[in-house]
Amino acid sequence: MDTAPPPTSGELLRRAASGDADAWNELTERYGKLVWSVARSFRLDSADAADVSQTTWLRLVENIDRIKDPERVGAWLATTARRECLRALRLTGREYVTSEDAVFDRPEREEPGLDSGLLLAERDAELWQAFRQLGDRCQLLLRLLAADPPVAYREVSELMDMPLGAIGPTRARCLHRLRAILEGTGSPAAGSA
Amino acid sequence: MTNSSGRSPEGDEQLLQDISRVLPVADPMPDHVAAAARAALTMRTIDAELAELLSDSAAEPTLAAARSHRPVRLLSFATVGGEVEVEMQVETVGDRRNIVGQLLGAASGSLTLDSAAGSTEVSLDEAGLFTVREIVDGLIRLRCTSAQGRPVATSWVLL
Repeated sequence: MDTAPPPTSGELLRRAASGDADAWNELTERYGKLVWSVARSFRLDSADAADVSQTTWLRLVENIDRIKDPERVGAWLATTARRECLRALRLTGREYVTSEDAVFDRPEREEPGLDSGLLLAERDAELWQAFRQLGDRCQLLLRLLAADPPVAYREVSELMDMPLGAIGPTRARCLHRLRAILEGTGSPAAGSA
Repeated sequence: MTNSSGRSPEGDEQLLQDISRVLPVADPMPDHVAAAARAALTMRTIDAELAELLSDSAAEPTLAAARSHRPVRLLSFATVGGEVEVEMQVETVGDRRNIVGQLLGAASGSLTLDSAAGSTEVSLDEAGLFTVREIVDGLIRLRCTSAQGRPVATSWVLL
């Protein structure tokens, strides 16, 4: 009994649909950070990201009996969160920039730095600061790939409107860009190190 | 072995692992967000039919110039069979929202508005028109009983 495998997401969803709050809580535990990550990578501030997260979970409740592929509820949540992010951006008078220029570098709106009182090792703090300078698409891609549990390539492809074959190369370019920012602090000649 | 740019599959893997480790610390999901996710299930209206959000002017890409002349947001909802249809215009005044709408197919002369502030009854006139003034921004939905006697709830929308 205690060696039983953890329930699949589809099982959790079905149990939640029949009113099992524990199953629902486990589902939110499993995918809450993913939804949050999607929201945060769309240049939404904490309050807007919180609204998007809540809206996304309410959408799942509304559709709980109608999810076509319950085992892929994580992808459904991520896709729904993305749609709600775009809506939120348009509501606040901003559009999501998808031009190539915006892929690797964040073009505008310097983000606030670390929350005050947040203690990170210096190296980690540098990594975080560099990460925040990446373009939205890079941030989203790396957040999805770094998520726990990681998001499968097939789902990343759907979520980002990116061909499956482009994910690996884009991942490499984004990480390369991140490394250049990290190494190029104070030097415009990133990559020459 | 050595790579001047530090670029290698192993190096990429390590960097991604570092991101994976740093993100939850640097940009943690607030506790209230997790709590709201857990609480979402309690907002379920088990017997209610969903009047799904069909269109939302805020979800349509528009030129910034056009948008600035369109302070009113248009939303429409309907059940699958179309027994209940809702259209509404939302006007933004600071952090307050005014709604003027029409709900067709209700059994009675009122609807229920669910919002962060709780639930309020809103009356419908003979044509199904309703007005809600100065509600605080946030998530809302409407509920009613259809002419067929079924409870109906709209999708939640963030105003």
